[in-house]
Amino acid sequence: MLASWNWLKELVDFGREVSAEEGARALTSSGLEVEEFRPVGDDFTGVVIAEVVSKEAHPNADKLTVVHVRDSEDGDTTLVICGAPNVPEPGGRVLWAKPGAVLPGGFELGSKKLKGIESAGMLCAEDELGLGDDHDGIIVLGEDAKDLPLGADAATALGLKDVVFDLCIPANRADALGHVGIARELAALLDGRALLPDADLSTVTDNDSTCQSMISVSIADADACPRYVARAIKGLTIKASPLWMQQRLRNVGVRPISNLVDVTNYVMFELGQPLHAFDYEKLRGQRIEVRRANASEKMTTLDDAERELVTADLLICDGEAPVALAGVMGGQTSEIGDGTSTVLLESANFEAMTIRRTAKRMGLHSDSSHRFERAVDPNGADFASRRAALLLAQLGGGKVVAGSVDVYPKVIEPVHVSMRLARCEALSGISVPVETVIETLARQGLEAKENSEGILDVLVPTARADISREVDLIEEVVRIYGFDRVPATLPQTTVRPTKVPDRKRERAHAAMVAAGFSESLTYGFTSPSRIEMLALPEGDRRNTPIKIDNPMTLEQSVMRTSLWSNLLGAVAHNQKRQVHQVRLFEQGHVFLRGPEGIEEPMQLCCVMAGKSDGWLKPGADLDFYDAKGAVISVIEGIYGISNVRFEPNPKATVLHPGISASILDSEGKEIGCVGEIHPSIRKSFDLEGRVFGFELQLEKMTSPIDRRMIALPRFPAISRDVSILVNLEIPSSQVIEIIESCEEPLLASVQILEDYRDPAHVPEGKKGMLWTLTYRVSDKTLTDKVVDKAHKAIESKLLEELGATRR
Amino acid sequence: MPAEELIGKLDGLGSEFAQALVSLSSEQDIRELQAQFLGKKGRVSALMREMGKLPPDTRRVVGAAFNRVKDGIAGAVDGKLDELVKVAEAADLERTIDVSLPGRVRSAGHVHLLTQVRNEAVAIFGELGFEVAEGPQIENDFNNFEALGFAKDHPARDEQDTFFVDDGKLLLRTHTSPVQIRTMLSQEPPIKIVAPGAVYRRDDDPTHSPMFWQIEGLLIDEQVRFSDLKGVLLHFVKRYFGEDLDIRFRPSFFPFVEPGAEVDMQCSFCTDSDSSKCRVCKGTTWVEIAGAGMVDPVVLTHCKIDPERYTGFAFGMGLERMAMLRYGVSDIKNFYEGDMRFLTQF
Ligand SMILES: [Zn+2]
Repeated sequence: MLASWNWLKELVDFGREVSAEEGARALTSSGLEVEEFRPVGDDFTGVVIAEVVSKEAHPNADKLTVVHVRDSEDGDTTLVICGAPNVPEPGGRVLWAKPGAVLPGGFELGSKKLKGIESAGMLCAEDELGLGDDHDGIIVLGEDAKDLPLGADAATALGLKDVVFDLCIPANRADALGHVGIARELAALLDGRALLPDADLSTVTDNDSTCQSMISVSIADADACPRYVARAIKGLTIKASPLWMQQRLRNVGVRPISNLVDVTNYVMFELGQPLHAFDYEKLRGQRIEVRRANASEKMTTLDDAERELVTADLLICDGEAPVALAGVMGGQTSEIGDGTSTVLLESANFEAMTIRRTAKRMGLHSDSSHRFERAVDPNGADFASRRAALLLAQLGGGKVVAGSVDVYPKVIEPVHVSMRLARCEALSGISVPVETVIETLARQGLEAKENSEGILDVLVPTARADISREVDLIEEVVRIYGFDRVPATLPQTTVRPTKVPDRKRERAHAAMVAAGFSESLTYGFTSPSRIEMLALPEGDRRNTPIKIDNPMTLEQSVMRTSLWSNLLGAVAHNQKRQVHQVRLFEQGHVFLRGPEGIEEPMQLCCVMAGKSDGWLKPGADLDFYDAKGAVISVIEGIYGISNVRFEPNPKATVLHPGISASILDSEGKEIGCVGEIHPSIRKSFDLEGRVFGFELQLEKMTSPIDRRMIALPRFPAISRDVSILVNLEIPSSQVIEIIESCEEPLLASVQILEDYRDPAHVPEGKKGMLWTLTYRVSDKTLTDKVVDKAHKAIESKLLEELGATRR
Repeated sequence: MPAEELIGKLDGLGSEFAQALVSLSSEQDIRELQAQFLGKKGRVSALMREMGKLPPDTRRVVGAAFNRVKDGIAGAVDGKLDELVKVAEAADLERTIDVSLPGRVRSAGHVHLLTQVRNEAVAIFGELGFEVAEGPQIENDFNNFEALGFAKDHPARDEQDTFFVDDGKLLLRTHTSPVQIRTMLSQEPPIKIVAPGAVYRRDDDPTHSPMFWQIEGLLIDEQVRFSDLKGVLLHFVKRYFGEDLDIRFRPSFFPFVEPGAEVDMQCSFCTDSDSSKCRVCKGTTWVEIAGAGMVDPVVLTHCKIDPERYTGFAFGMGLERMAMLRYGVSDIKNFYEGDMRFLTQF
């Protein structure tokens, strides 16, 4: 909410000079945060109040007027050319920026020829002085400026210098949605005394008629409308509000319209009570009824929109039809207009939820609905009505009809809340003396008495709907006493941690980073098209993502069902920015529907594109084995050793059917897949070059267990190579199986050194394989003779079973 | 051959060796030369065999001469080899390279900045005994709102514009606070947790993202005070942002805490001379880092914890905001695009 510092100052007696800065600091520190501090009216100089002496059309231009003005009662006149259509008749008062004046933005005025006639400075419009955004005409001062001396500095004389606070009012502080509430807070914080504006009607009341004789009010739904105060003001003349009121309204972000409308807005911003002014003559049947809408009822609101109503909407009706959408917006039929002379002023109280539902459904967020949604004090309704009636009478030259119609079936009384001082200290960590507590509360309008030792009885005015419990009072005491006076202590609680951290997740993460992959954290949502692009088989539950009811964009309209979608998107993002070496992984949740509701399993996904890393095979294309190596790095990172198997998987999803494998754990359970991204998916994602990757279902993987140490070898090993020529289709796993089937006790390890397929050196359909077998036993040094015998046996079994030849 | 002649020849070989040695510069040549003289078939050995033919009384003199020459040669060889080692070492020390050429790097990958922030925060709160707790991202209304004191249709819900799922039956959690509820419903006090995780709000601009990361803290026990909350957050700020920084609490409203506060820390980016130009704190010298407060009795009651016996505090911070403050990241989108150029900077 926007607040004017001048306005606030009127409502507090500080007993000393308080600067706007000090006020803003105090409010911010007490929880009404000043988000923006904006001085207005101080960024121009040399603008004075001047009187128009004569005006005539410019001889050389249709739209310009030659104006003679003077800035002292008996002084010389000066010629100013004005382009505005609303130059007043002689005697009218305007704001004249004289030569030498500096306008907002540092623009300095001089004398300037306009179509052949020299103009000394200019007559100012609102926007030129930074006072508003109106540029339809120059500012013409009203009757109220008649007594101001000519030549007076405009900013000072008209009170244009002000500071606007943009305040962030917490949702529970409806009382601070008016200047009086903020002023009360300032008074409490800065040792001042809060004041109320004048609402004494005795001098403006016309006792010849009574309000009761003009209108009757009935409330059909007292839960939705606990109170309705109606007052009538007659003999009014509609015109522009005085400049001071216009200026205040502009400063709080409200556009001035006319005195009769402006007063309702002014009092709302002053007291926080929304008001509505009806043209009394346009109300039919001399009655007001507050009721819920009938099904399929319609009404046209002030903004010319025809609104379809539902039965939850609360209406203000006259004798015939709805005349306002309660608490949200007025209706067209009873709108204040040029002919209005009698106003029926509504100061009502509406229940928050009712107003909120209607405002939300219609997308009508008004200053009025904003306040009602946050609960307005029903006991403030009559005061606001009096205050507005007084202003209407004063500014519109009318009289207030005696009395009011005040329907308030169930009076809401202030509540008593008790507070234990010991509890206050235990909760806050500071000890505040009882006298200070009482005084602190009193400054907030909360009357406290120590009824019994250490227990206060506090009477909470209805304006403070946010206080209903002991803890709310404690908050109030500590807040006003000052959060900065609370010391910083450390809690005494010690809790023995019981949850075992998920080592698997931590280790997989560390292994991926060590293996050269950078971590990506993509959105939890993705686009339906990205899921489609993964071309998953029919019936795969990853094809039916969880949809967001109200997404912001289509790209973020469903929850991701795998990490592939956003990670492949990230590869494209990088390649489009000429980053070709992509090594990314993400460890995160995916969202799937399971038999027992939504599941959020954690997965690890990795993508790689570009060339192989520079040191082993500099500049070579990536291949399957780079990705497989990365899988083994992770598995070793988690378990210490690699205990997984890789099996061809022609039914792989996302991956190339011939260049991919399932990853199986030691029990044969599938825990993931690795391989080249399917060429058509690569195309859909618009990826350059072959891309490889893997996916691990972390949740399916066993937790790492402690391994037992194997004694270090004490005797040397002997290695023997075997080089064979075999059919191309024989996988290395088969060679290992045959070697292992020999169950040679001396054999310690098997390693492949070469898989050789160069057609220049091996016959067609064949490949060369070079293996190293290492022999060792734990209790003695082996001799060549023993090893040769064992090796020969293995070699012949290989040749025989594989149909291989020696190479 | 008479003894004198033999001795003369031996000495002659000695000087011949010395002369030949001078021009040699490799160990192999030196060893070969040594073999030519001292080897079994070497020239000194050949003369040695002559010694046997001498009368026994002269053998002693010749033997001494023989040893002298042999030792002389061996000494010269050792000396020469030492010299060669020195020369070689000197030559090795002459080598220089261009140290400005690139090194051969096998880079490790990079931990995402938000993970770094998260891990660091978890570790700091871990020092104070807070344990990590987690919960699902797709939540129900009770855990995300109702149990936290957000009544249905409460305006406070507007501040957390929500993504709904399954026709509004479920939602994407708008904060990590549902983890508080889940923990309190499943565990007896004392409770001391931190809950990091992704959260979602309908918000999108350079400092707001529809998904972002929070870390939430909760402590429930007998005699937990507002001042304890201040102490814990002060410890965190000093550890994470700098030992010399202070914090301040500003009263604020969140339905699930009372009293509630917004927590600012001193701006560490202001220059000493003029804070009014500081872009981080906009001249206020304070920057907001957390929302916090004492757990509202309503929340405890919803979780079947006796609010008379137990009190507690909760706080929440945005990981992005912390990262943006500490590392000067200006657009929040950078965190989620997977751009290698961003990820590999940290
Ligand atoms: Zn700063």
